[in-house]
Amino acid sequence: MVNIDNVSMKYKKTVLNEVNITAQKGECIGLLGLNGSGKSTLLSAIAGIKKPASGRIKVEGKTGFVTQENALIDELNAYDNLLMWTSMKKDEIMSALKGPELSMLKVSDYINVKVRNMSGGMKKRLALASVLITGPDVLLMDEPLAALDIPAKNDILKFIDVFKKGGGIIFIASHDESVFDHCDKVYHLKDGKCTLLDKSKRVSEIVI
Amino acid sequence: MIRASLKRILNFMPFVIAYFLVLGLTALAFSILGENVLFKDGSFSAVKVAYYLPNDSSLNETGFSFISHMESVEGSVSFVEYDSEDEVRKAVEDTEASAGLIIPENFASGLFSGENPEVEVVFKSADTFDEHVVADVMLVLANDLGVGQASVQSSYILCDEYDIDPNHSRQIAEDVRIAELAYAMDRFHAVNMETIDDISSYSLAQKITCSALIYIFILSVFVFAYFCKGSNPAFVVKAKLSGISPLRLFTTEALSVWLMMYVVFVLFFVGLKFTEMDIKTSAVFFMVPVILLLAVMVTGICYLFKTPVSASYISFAFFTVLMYTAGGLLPIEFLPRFLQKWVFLNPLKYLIDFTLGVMFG
Repeated sequence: MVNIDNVSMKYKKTVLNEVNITAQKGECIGLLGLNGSGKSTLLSAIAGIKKPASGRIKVEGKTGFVTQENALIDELNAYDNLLMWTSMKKDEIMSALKGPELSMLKVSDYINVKVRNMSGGMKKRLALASVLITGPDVLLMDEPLAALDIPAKNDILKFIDVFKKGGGIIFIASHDESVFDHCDKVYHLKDGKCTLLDKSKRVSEIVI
Repeated sequence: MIRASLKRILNFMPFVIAYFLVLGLTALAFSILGENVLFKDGSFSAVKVAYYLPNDSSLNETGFSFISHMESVEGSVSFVEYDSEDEVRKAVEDTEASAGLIIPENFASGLFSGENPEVEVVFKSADTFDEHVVADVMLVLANDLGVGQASVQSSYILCDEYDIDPNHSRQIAEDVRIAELAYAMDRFHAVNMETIDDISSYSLAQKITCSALIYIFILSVFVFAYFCKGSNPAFVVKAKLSGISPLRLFTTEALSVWLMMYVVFVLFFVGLKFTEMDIKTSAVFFMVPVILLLAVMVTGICYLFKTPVSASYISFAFFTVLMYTAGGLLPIEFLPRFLQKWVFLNPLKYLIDFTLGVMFG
């Protein structure tokens, strides 16, 4: 479970103002808002990277963060990128890639390809795999569909459903409407305030 | 992580080699160009001193040979012989030479007759660098020739006192002079050059080699900024959530940078072994801490700036000024006098001095 209780964060101005969100196992939470509305800041706070000015965030289980920029090393291949951040051995990594969630990402198909030679979709799937391989219970995704083509988007969306079914909690910050069809709750962040949205409304109507 | 880091180094190494090769060749081109601009006659010396030496005694030639081979002079001052006193004066007048030394026609014979002839030093009102050099030359000359004169005169007086044939005094003086020169040669420094330049015992080529090496290593921020990920929030988050502390990430990357720099240094060392510069073999070991310091510095700079471009530009601007004021790009003597006074505050100066000691003894 993730419990965000009255969390406020400030830089020069207030970015988050008394945000309250609760996510249960198997839930996907969508975060919607314009650039600079505090979506990424909220994800960083949940990950424990940034400390809230006030309030409390309780996360049960391990957190994984798929950042907007793929944290991949260009000069290494997919396998070495996975190896970089774990203490797992080659056999363990290869068998982990065959698991229900990771196998969907099809990283094994291009395990020896260097990142610099990968497409945007391959990179995003590898970035996701490098987080999932650490076995997170809570997955934070910042703009996971940005600059992806339709097949790559569909792969990520399918993965979201599988991760949820496995009992994982996902927080997704996105501008992409298609993501929110896979979310159980969608919150709108504006002027530091976080409000639960009526899913029947179109995202474009709400944001504008 | 270590295994992946080693693979990373292996994959990144071609970029590093390419960088050092390009910048190294550029530095070499500048060095050759600079040599032609700064130093005439391909002498690779900072200053040219014209001299006239009458052909009346081997004593004079030995004296000049002694001066020009002193460690504190060799490589810094180029002595060029002219055929007459007038030519020496004209060379100085035309600023072809920084100073002129004229040995009088009767110098050697005058010593034996007790005339005590004087050496003439010719120079124009000079800029800072020339003033220093002329002062050095005068001191060296006074030291050497003064000792020679004293010994010759002493032997002459002694012969006169004890009614010995004055012709014997020449032989006695010769013996005494050889002993004195041997003594003086053992001193290595006839004058205290430290008031001008603590590292005057190194040739200009050695100094330029060391400072260019350090400069290129520092500016390798340009390439290592793409290697170091500590300034990238995405990687910092990833490392943190993978249980890798920022310090561990920094240490791993700094050691990787060190390893790559060290490989480049070894290649440089092997290349230098084929040149006339006598690089010490022990430099392979003693340069380890120097390169480690540079690697930590470069990694730190890469971590300070958000993008590789800003890291490159800012470090280029900052370290070029720091290198210049440390006397790394041009000899300290070429700096404006007010800057020379503050060189001791520049940490790069000490790094260059230490590197010189490690590489050339």
